[in-house]
Amino acid sequence: MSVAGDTRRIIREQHEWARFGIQSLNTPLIRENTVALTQIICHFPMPLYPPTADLKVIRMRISPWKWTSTVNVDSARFWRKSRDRMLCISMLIVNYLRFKLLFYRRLFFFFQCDTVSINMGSRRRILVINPNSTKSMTDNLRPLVDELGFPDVRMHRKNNAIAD
Amino acid sequence: MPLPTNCQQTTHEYFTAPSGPKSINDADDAAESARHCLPHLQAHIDTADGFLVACYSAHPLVPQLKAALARQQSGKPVTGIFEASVATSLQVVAPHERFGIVSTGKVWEALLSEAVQDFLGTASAASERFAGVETTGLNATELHDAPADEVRAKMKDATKRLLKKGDVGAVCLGCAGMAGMNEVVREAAIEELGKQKGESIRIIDGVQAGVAWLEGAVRSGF
Repeated sequence: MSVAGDTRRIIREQHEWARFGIQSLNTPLIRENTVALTQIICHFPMPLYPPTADLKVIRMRISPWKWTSTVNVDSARFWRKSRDRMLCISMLIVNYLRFKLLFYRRLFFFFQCDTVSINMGSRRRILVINPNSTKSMTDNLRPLVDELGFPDVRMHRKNNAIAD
Repeated sequence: MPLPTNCQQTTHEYFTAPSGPKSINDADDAAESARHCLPHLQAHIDTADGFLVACYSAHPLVPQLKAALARQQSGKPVTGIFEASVATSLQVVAPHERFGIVSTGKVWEALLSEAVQDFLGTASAASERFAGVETTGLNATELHDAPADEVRAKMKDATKRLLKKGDVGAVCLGCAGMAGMNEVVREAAIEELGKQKGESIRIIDGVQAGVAWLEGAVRSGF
């Protein structure tokens, strides 16, 4: 795809995601996160995602000036926890209103999505095998691995990044 | 506004052999440990994305896991801490420098020298990049059970013997039980080569080298 076409696609996607208060930075990680989050909002009350999905926890926080709502969703336990279900319903309503009120955001700016925090859970699993049958040897490996602490992509966005 | 984002995307899980040798001290122990581990690892083959065998030897689990994954037509990466540290050493040393290994029992001197030659596929020509193996005489469990002063002294002695071979740019910690012994090796390097040269020696921990390589390999789909 040409640069212009690619740019148009990114802008189109950003408008699409902006409906839900999320900025797409067009990276695979963020795009997947965004899709997952959009599924929660759009496809509710359909089954959100298969239990085998990598997605483990989604945390979304909408924080207008004095009000904060947090949704934590675990793919395995979501439907069993009424609290999560209610929070998701409230999130659906808030985002629906946000979408409807975007044109009037100067008047209804308090519905603005302030931050989005998403934890997809781990997507990669590395198995460290100690073939010795001495458990303490394995325990000694952990600090070494933790010391590496590879940082993953961090997502940042601001209110004014949302397209009208 | 800083976000409370927590996107740690890689989980490291640990497996300890449920039975078999407490401490792998030679090639027979390594083969026996593989027999004890492999049946229990079958369950992890589908769930894990990368595998690191944390025994500093040409451990048979590495090729066995590769073969098991190949049978499933899976391209998941597998490495051992020995292979990872040798590969890393070759990349970090300068063109005129060599790398060497500080290991535990005397038996590992021949075993690891052969393993390096096999891994590099260079036979006797390996000496151009490989300075050799020096050992402490302590096995993996003794590294932790023996008095700290004795361990330090033997580690430093082995390191100095290795560095005396000349042009050594990287020292591999040749045992998973040497985790955290970088400082002892560094001290020995400074005592042997002086502050400037001693501080420039690369100390390669096979566990970290292996995890680092696997992280990249899994992310890149190598």
